[in-house]
Amino acid sequence: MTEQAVPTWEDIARTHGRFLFTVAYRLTGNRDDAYDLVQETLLRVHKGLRSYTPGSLEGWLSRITTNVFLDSVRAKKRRPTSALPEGNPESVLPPSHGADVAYASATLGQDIQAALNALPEEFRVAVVMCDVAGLPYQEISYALGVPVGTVRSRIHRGRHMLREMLTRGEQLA
Amino acid sequence: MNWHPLADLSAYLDGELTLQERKVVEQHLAGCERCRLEMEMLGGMKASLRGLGMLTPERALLPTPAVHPGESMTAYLDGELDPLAALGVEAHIEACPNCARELKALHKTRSALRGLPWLEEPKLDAITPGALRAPRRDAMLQGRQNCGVRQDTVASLSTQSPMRPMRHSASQRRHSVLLAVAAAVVVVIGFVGVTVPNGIEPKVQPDLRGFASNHASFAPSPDGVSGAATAVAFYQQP
Repeated sequence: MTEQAVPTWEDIARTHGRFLFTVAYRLTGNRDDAYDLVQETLLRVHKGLRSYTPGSLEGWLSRITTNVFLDSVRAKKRRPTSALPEGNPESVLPPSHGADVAYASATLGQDIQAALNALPEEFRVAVVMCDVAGLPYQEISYALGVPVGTVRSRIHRGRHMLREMLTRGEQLA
Repeated sequence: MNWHPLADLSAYLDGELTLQERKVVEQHLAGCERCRLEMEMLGGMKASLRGLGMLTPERALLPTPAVHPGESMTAYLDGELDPLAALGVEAHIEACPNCARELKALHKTRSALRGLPWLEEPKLDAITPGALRAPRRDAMLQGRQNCGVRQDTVASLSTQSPMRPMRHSASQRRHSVLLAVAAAVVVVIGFVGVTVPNGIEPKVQPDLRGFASNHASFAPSPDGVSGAATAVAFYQQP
């Protein structure tokens, strides 16, 4: 049995930078916030490296990223600065280009990101951890501190809401 | 069919159901068009999310440890760098002995500056008209005391002889005397020139012979005598 070495901080930033940035962008919906989220994540990674036990590195990084994201969301809710678009998908969805199937169009990435932005955070985090980070339910459950059944429900409802938003955007076009 | 395993469809797609749960869902899907459509929709959504792909950050996520921190080192020392940049400086210093030495030197300089004593404000009520007329050196010494100059230096300066009136050297005195005598001579000559009467001025006799010989024409006159000879004869008359 070979023993996995603990990666250095620089190694993680170099080899998992794209992964971290992608997850951060899918959670926040814009590049500036994604950079902030990644930087805060890397700081926590630096502090936590000593206690890191070799295993699923991407799971560990995703857990830290989502926790940092949820912390910032809670902090923003304590001192709101602007109206959130949550609950009104029409206001955040870009105009559809009339494709037969919404999620097959050329602007699908933007449409899906806009729909993700409109999802409540707990559903967004579950969907991003599952479909972007590719984590199993058990790991998402551990990361979020909720039962696996809750993860299952959030992922299902999250996907369902996304689909409804995209279909509604298609109908409005 | 009244019951639909909608909540399990995503988990079925993700392979997160137990064997028994999966069998139940598969049996249901075989006979339920609605759940098959729902399943198709969820599958498409999952594929779309996974197909979004990875993004590439446009700027470095970490400060580059290979770059010397330069001025950032002072900011790092003062705790003014953001935490990530500070970690970058630390990573660089661990690998770069030159920068480690420079940081140490900066730290010593800062400690020396911060170790300077606090100054006492001058006592304004101690200033009197007499103190204001005090010699400049005393005032200077007082100022140095207030500016934190070492007390032993001040004491050594204080033990020197007190200030005396300015004295001139012998050569300076001789020059002064000569200048005074010359000035007196000039004054006397001027006075005499102004007050002497015109009658005693000596009479000047013009050199008429020389003038005539220089300026009269030497051309011969009709009587055969030159102008010069005539003029000389004229001026030789008494």
